[in-house]
Amino acid sequence: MARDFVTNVQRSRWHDGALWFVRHKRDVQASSIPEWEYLRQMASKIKTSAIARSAELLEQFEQNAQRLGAVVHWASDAAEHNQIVYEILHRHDVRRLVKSKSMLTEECHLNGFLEERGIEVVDTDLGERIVQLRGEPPSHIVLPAIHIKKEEVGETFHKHLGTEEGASDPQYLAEAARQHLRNKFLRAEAGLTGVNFAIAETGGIVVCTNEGNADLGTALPPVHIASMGLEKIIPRLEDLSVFTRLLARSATGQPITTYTSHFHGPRDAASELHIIIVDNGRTELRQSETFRPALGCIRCGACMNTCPVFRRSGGHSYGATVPGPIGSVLNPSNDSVRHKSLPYACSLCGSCTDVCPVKIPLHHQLLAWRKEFGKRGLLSIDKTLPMKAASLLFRHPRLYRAAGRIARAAMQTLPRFVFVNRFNLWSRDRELPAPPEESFTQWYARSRKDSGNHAQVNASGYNKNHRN
Amino acid sequence: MIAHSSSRQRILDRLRSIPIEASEVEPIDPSRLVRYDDPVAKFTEILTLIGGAVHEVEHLGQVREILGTLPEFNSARHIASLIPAAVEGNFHCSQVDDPHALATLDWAIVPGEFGVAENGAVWVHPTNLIERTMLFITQHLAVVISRTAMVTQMHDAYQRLRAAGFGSQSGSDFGVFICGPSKTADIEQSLVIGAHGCRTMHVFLTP
Repeated sequence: MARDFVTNVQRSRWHDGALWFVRHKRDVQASSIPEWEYLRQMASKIKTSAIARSAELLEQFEQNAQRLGAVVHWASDAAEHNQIVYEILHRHDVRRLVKSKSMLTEECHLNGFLEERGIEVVDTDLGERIVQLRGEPPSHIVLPAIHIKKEEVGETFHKHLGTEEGASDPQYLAEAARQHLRNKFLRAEAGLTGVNFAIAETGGIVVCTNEGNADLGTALPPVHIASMGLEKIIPRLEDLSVFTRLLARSATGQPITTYTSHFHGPRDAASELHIIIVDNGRTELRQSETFRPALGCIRCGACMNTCPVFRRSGGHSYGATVPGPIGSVLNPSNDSVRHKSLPYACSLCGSCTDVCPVKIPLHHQLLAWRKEFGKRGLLSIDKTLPMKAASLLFRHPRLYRAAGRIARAAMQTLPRFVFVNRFNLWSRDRELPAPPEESFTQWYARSRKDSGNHAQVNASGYNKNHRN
Repeated sequence: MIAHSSSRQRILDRLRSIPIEASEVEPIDPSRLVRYDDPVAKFTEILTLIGGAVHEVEHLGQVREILGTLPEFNSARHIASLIPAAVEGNFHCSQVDDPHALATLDWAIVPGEFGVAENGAVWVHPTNLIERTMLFITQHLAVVISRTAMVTQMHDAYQRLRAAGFGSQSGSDFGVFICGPSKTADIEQSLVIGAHGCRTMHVFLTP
């Protein structure tokens, strides 16, 4: 899927443009508030402090949530989370579950787990419903179907929802989805949501959506399950002011999401609210001083929209639930062998760090991962050998100059396939530049001589002096 | 039914295994926050931009007059109103206890607590499940607030909520900031108004 995407130049450009449009909207919103940078600083401070105090805050949250009548569960990993969800549903004999967007349940692969046990799971966010019907994972955490064209949505809806063949008008397709999902909401026996923020001092949770799907999905059925990563905890009600101002502006360039819903306890005495606090690698990440700030992520997706690599390669090419710069930081901590290529898919341009609303130093962390892989001995020979060779060359100027001469001569005389072949991954989509006639040192010495400058610079002498 | 306490302990132990110094976070400095000369004008500008409609009225009777000019109101079959002085309504919420009974609701007319100038959001605080469901299931939503109940930005909004005791109750509570009609841009970034919640949102500002 990812390969098809990146080899399709037109689609890649279209995707690039679509995300840049969102990035631009974000810029407009960010600059509309003079205190934007102050808010980012405050958000970073609040998150840093909350991550440090997480044990105390989570206990406080649990106590308050229980006081309001919620049931609080703790899950060490994805399997335990899924089991807890299943047990709750099983106890209520639930056959039909509606879900609003939750990247955590994607991370836990909850849908498949429940479907195997005979429960119908319906993702109700339009983008998520589109990818669910197509049997794909989301390619973006905020815009799950950003990689799909409206004509393809039309085909999918024609097949599953019975819309007219060939229809591709977004208004028409979204209306069809509204009707289809209304029915699902009305028939659902339980609703599952993610959690954007969990407030320690009140025991409440906050969920932000534009579509209103989290609200319909929790107002109608009597059972509400809210799955949250343990990093969602914030200390006070007032902290929400900082995050609600930053989240939607950073995510989609809106001043605030259409619905910012504050749930305190179950909907009424006859209903249940279950909150599942999930670790699944988060405490591990927290142990590392270098990567700890990544836990502050509020999942706005701004780093994806701005990333030149993400925009051109699409979310599926990351092979993980959370793609983009933040995904490339988070995923290797779960499985450093499987995700070791991700921190290299980055030009270190730093744009992600510039837009991050909680000031996670993303590009520094990506660089830190590369160092970490080296320490852990995870680098493949095609990375270590050239580095060793380069180190040798840079330490020995004579050798360096000789190698340059040989390379220039070789590239001018030997056939192309010697350099551009399947072993040279660099040349897969690129052409080598034509080799220069002479080195910079040669050119410098020659042009000084040609211009008759008395203050001639002896190239080798320059090198010697420089080494002193 | 708290059978997963071993994970609870494991997670908390892990979080406590290394002490991390937490510096005190200072409160927000109000002098650094944006202020508007005319918060009502800002509110109107933003909410209109987002796809909502804002009407300044002098008395509640005008709400009915303005709604009466809308084809989607005149053709509505089921109207629930929590403000009978503005709109009579023909769907009586006090007579239902199952939120599914609201499935055919065309219009809901509800009171809001206050508006937020910087983003055009309205805080709505339903007192029971039926009032809550109404907000999201209705095809069209009208919210009535006083124009004196306007805060500048979200910091003032949460201060106001704290002062009103939100979050410190002993039982269930639900409140929501609503900003315009429900929407989605999940199909090729084309904005479609009317996702799962209301298709139109009208805010009436009373004196």
